[in-house]
Amino acid sequence: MPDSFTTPKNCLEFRVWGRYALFTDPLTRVGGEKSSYHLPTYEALKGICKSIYWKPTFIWYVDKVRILRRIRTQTRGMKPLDYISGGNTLAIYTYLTGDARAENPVDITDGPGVEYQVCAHFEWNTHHAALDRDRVDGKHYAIAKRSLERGGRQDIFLGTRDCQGYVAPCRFGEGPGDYDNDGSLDYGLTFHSFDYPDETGMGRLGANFWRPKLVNGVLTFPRPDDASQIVKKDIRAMKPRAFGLDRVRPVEAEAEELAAATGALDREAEL
Amino acid sequence: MSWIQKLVETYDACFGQDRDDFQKLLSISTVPQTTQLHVELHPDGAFFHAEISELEDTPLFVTEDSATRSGKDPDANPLTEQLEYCAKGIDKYGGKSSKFDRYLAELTAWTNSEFSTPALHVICAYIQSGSLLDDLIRNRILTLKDKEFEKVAIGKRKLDPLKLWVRWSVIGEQQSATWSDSNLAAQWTEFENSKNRPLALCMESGKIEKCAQKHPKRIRYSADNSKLLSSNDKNGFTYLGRFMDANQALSLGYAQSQKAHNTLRWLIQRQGTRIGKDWTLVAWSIKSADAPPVAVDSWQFFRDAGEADEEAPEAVYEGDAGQLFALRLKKAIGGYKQKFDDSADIVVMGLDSATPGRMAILFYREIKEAEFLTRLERWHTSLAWPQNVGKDRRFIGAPAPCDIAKACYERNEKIDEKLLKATQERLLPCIVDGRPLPRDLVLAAVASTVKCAYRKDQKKGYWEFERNLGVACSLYRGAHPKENYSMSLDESRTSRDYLYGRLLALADSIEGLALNVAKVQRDTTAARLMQRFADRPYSTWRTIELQLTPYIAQLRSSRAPALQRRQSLIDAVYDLFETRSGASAFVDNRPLSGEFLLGFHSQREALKPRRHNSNDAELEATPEEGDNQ
Repeated sequence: MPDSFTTPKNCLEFRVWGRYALFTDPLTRVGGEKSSYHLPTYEALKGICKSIYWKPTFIWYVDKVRILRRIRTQTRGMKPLDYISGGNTLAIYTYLTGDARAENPVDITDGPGVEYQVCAHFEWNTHHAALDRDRVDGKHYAIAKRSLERGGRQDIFLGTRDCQGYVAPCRFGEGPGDYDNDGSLDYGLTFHSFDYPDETGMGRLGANFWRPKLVNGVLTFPRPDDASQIVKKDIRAMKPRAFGLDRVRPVEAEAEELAAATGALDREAEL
Repeated sequence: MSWIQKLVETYDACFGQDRDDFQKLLSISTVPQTTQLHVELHPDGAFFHAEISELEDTPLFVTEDSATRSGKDPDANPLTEQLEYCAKGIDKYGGKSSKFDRYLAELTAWTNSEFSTPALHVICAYIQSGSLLDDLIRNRILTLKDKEFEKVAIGKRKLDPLKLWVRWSVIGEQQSATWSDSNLAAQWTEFENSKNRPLALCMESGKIEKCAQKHPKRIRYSADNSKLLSSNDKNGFTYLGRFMDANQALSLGYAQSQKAHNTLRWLIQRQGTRIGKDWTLVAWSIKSADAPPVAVDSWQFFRDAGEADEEAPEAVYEGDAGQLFALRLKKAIGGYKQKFDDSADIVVMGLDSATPGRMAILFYREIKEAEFLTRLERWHTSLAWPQNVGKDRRFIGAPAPCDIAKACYERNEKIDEKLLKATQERLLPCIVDGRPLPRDLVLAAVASTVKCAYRKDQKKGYWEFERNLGVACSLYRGAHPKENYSMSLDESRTSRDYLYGRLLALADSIEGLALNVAKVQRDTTAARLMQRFADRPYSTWRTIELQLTPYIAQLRSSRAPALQRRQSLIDAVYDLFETRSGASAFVDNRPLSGEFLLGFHSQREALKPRRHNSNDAELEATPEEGDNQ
């Protein structure tokens, strides 16, 4: 049970799984031979939350992730497009996968692949002053929960776009995991997230790095502005995207439409 | 995935250590190069002596640009360089004078900086004077023919003189050879560090450092043009999008990059396994660089663990073969355990190239030393079986992954290199991660063994069959650990496949003995029909048994005791069939699994003579298959 004193009230807990994941290590990515980190990055999980439901009114913060399957890697030869001379070039990508849950898997859930339990919450994005009226407590959270029950509003992918994933609601910490008793594991400097100008308020793009520590299969992420754990790298100047209520559908309208659409589906399901 | 960090840690732990080949771990901005021409100078700047002598792995000082030079206007190394760069006036003999200008520029920059040594001044003055070519001609190191240099002979090869690498010595110095001078190497490192480079966050250390613009190549072998980190692909969209240039996407400190690549190069040369040109596997311990070998068979494993040759017992089948192997393995593992402490990290890394120019990391694991040894022990124990891989390689243990690949997929003694690489790669997680063996490999090994039992070419076919048999039995045993197959004949096992294998071995033995007595060279019926036997055991057994009648008659007169022994064993096997489930198991004509090869091999080994029991008249010498050559 989430601790009601320290856990934010709008915490979303879900399970995400997929056959492969590719959380690209930036060191190898530039050369073209991508290989995956063994742990999911904050940015990738934030992207999954955004695929479930997102509005520019708020920012998702991923609190922690729990790794359920033992980490395995698998290499595949790929033929990415060669943009210079046309045709294809050859590359070797190393994907992340995991142990199967059962000896003879029946469906994709039981077969080899990655599986995580994620706990995330959102806070208002105070840099979009124009969306002030959209910050209605509770409505966004309700929509997020309903979207999660339906598997997310947009496609879920684990790192790169070709690693399709699925989400479902769950309780963080339930069920056995392969790393539950493995103690603590330290990793070197790893990519954490990007600082986009519309979320930080400064007109620059930056990258964050941190040193993960996996404790009994749970990875607790620091916030991107936590200076004690995050090392920042400034990249370049970037103009923030301007959102206003003329470009964003107000949350009341969103909630009504969703209720109408899903209510109809629910009634159909009952019949 | 912190491989750069681990490599840097290994560098820091191993650099400068006084162990055998640890001098080959070179400092920053130094790469190994084979040099051919040795020039010695007087301390006052005059030419003293020159000779053609090849020295491999001479430390070559490189700048960031000269390490990755290519094209029409290449950058020059500062000190040790090719003759074309060192000689003034080389354009008279077909060289490019721009190369000399660059070389002189690099050398004078270093000499005039605060990091120079007296030896450098001597060499610099000599180069500027430009008398190198004349001195070489005068001393008959180089010979002119029609205004062009003749090729220089080194050993059996003839080399273009302009491409000879020159190394310098200044006599009278404390350390006359510039390449062994550690003070000079340190000065060069300082000089390189003092050069201006863009400051950025190093993605390995997390601090603001001077960052490398180009990363080294020539990592796996000296002609290797592949880079592990490459960043000049501005048109290829590998990082474009959020990032505008490569430094935004990837910034690694210069020292970190050099240390990591030098360490990797040194480790691969020292203890790497390679298939073909590109696929490389290397395992190392972060503290001491040594590690137990990963992709080898048990024979090699014991040798690398330091087992003396005299200790290796003869590959004679003994009743307690399994126990003997277990003892040797324990001793080898114990030997490794002593060398390391439990908290040391072992890193296993595999590299390959899909295209020349880029390298990918295929396989990367960081494991604690103790865990790694446990997994290796498990691999060797679960796959242990008497192997026969060649004339001097008969041992009890696990086969090498390369032999497993060949046994499964070799056709006409050839195997496609890609298939060999892919199969080895599939076996790595089984060895290092402890994953179960891929089922299709087990099936492929069994199928190829059964297929080559009938040997069209007696000589080659013999070794092929023996090797495949050993590998297939190992794999089957490893894939079914719960069954707990013993390496020696298990006379109480009543599973149908095992018993059928024993029957086949007995029939093969009877006929083989008879043929040997009659001095006829022919494959036995059992060998010829093995494939059919594997598909339809009951009906094929009837054929084999009928064919045995003349041989039994023959043996009754010449080798009665041996025949008696075999026939009583056949009866014993029939009894075991009965005890299992009545006659129905025997009559069952369904195909056999690989287990029958285990029965076949164990029974065949049990029938071979026990050499220390030579007084026993009953144990007639059974001809080994090799006698049929």
